[in-house]
Amino acid sequence: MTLLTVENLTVGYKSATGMVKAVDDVSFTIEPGTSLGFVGESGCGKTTIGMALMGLLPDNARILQGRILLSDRDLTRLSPDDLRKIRGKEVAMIFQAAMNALNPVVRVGEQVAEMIVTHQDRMSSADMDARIASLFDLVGIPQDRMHDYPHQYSGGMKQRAVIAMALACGPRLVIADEPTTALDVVVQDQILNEILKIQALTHTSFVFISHDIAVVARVCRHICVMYDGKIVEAGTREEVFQTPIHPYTRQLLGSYLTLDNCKNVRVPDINVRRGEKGWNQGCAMARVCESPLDDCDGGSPGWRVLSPTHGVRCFKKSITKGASWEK
Amino acid sequence: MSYNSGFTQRFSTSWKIFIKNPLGKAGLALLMLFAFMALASFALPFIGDMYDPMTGVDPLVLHSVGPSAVHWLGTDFIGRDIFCQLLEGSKIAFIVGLASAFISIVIGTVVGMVSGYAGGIVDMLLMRLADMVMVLPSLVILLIIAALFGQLNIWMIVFLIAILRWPAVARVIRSQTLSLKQRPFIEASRVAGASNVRIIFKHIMPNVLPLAFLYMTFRVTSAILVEASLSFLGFGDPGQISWGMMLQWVWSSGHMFQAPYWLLPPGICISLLTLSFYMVGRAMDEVLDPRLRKEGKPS
Amino acid sequence: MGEIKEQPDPVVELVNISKIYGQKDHLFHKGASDVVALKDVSLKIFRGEIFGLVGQSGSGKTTAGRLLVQLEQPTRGEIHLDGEAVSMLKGQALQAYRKKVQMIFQDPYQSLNPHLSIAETVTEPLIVHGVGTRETRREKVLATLEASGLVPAADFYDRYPHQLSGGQRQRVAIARAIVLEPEFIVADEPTSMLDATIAIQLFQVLLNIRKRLGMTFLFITHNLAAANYLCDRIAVIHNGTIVETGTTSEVIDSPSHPYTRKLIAAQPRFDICPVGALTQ
Repeated sequence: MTLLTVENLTVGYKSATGMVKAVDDVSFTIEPGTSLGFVGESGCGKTTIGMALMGLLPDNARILQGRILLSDRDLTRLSPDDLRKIRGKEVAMIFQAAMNALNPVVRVGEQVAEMIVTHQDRMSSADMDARIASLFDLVGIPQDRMHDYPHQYSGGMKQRAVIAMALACGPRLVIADEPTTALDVVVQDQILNEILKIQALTHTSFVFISHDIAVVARVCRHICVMYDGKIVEAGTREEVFQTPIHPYTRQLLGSYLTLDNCKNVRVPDINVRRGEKGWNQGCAMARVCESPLDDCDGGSPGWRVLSPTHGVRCFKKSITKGASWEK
Repeated sequence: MSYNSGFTQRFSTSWKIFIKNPLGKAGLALLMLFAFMALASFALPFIGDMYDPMTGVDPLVLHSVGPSAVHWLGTDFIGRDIFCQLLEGSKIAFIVGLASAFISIVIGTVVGMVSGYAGGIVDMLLMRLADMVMVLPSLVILLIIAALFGQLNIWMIVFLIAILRWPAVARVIRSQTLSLKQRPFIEASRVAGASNVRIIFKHIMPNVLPLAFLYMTFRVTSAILVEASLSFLGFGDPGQISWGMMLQWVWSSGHMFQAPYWLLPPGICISLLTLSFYMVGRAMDEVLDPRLRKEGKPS
Repeated sequence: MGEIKEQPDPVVELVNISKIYGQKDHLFHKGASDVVALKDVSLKIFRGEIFGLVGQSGSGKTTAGRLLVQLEQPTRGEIHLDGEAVSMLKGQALQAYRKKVQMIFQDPYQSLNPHLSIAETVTEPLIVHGVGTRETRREKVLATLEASGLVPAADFYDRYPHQLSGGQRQRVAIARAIVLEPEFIVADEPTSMLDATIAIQLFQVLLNIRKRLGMTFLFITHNLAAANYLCDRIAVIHNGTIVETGTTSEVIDSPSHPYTRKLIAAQPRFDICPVGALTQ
């Protein structure tokens, strides 16, 4: 049974100039125990999706359309009280800035305990200690550090503690918004390994949001590429990486530097065509697309299904270049 | 030219936020009313000698009477028109308020920027000086000076109020400068080779000016009140009619409880004018501090 | 040091530089709370090369950059530019130094004064160094904006930072750094706040500038892959000490220090597909 179904989610922000759509007609599903990654440039709406799933949209944001079904409950229709009960217990979140998510004057162990107390019935203190100890084990913090304050932790340790807090109540879905962006590569590597381990052990579903496509590819079997509020390409990571169709996906992959590819990265042309972003006037990607068609200025391309798991939002029927390396 | 286009654009967005605020709208309307009154006072000499606020005695009255068609708010104890005095008083209130606020803002901003940017011994000396001035009770000091030197003229009063009221501004501007100093664009400018004077006036000043302007509205309020108190106590400029002086005349001629038509207008005017500056200041506060604003896409 | 023999002419040289942050003014200062940002760092950067300083946050790499542009002074050690010692410069000498050494800052949202137009921002170095007249400055600024990839430059000339995207802002910051045609530019993580597609374009801009103007760069980064793409030589810095220096291929392909090896192992990779295939 599907854990989470999001249908036609559209979120807008009220601004001085009117309503601005940050997330536009986004649909996806997550099966229990799998993980879904969202990649895109900053401002593409990926964080807003995470906030909408948590029911934590800022005051000036509105869900204009769509449903968020967790099992069979529509989160967009729940009262703030009911949402609060779900938050932390069934859906938890790992924030980007771990150092800000921890209270500096409370011991880390107590902060994790606090999460459990908020959502679960009374527990004996021995049970509680055992539960916290097992959580610390799970995220890889030595148990003797349980009674330390956050400032005694390193950046990576803090991020682990935040993950422990998210997992405290055994949520079915964890939303991780740029969980490793503030960390060094070495620590990032360890945390990603930890998340993979947790996924395997606890069968928790993850929504993984990042601007770093390699990070997402490491943790998620399914990837959604976002551009200007819309999902422009979605598929398994093999489909997205090996047969990328959408020009933005191709740019993103082509410009990503790794140690092995620096001789043949492709620099996207800049200012190829001028024009404003905005799907109403045509495809938002048209102004930076390498080979836009005439249709691209006319209207927004619809969703085209390529395989049961792979879909794209682009007019182009086939890729002109690079089709040969399709397996 | 380029600077102006950017300035007008910023100004128009700020204006939109300002005018949406009910406090700002009401304050601005009141302020316009008083400004109109102050302007109207310039027309008084042309209406007739009788309506000169200082010397224009109505020969038919010569004592205090209530409102009538000839004297809308009545006359004072020697037969001068109270409405004309009120108009004259609003002119003086604007001059005193704006001029002394302006001077104290200029002093406070320069001291604050220099102190915050220079740091070290300069900062310490300037801030201790500010502390010393800050704890002086302005009204008492003014009274002592007035007692020592006899009657002060209005510009002297303006200047003295300004001299006594800059430290609060300097403190705010200094703390703003301290945080600006850490911003990379200031460092970028240092790396480019800009001199300290250039950094202070080209880079820091435009960033603190809105705040200084905001503080000016609050300084105006306090300057008007200090001047009114001084005049009421009989130490104002005897050559200038102000609202405080009108109140002093009500008091000294023994009409305090007989002539509400004479007592109330200057009192109400003082309260409303200070209130309107305060409301405008609060609305500007909201323009400058996005955290107080209700809308706008989070970045 | 083996690399000196080919190029005898270092533009910039750090000699045994240490930087210690402590509370100097404290009475009974014992040095217990001192933070050692750099410890006996020595580096040579040769004319025309892009030199990468790679390290994690807190490794002291940014401090090294700030010392080089004289935003801070070293606690010990000596910095040389063109063979002359340049620590503790003041007045005219410092001004002359500033003309030769410029910096590109990390955060394009913070490094541009929101109250100044693009033109004013990029013209400022010319004004403070008294270069050119009003007309020639305008020409120079337009040409520099163009070189930084803001095309057509006239479109950007009168705009303000808040009207530009992050990538465009960083191009303005690059233009400000190169407008004086300095000998040496410190680029402190110029792309870490930007998306991958934008970052690669900015690297291209830096490479073009180097080709056209022959400037020398110190590229400070936490991203080994970016350093690999851009740099001729690399130094890896860890806890304030340089652990390894060498040409890019030496360091990446045959790292000798364990920390370098750890760093390389932790780099993100696309294991599941040959990304290189995309560029065909």
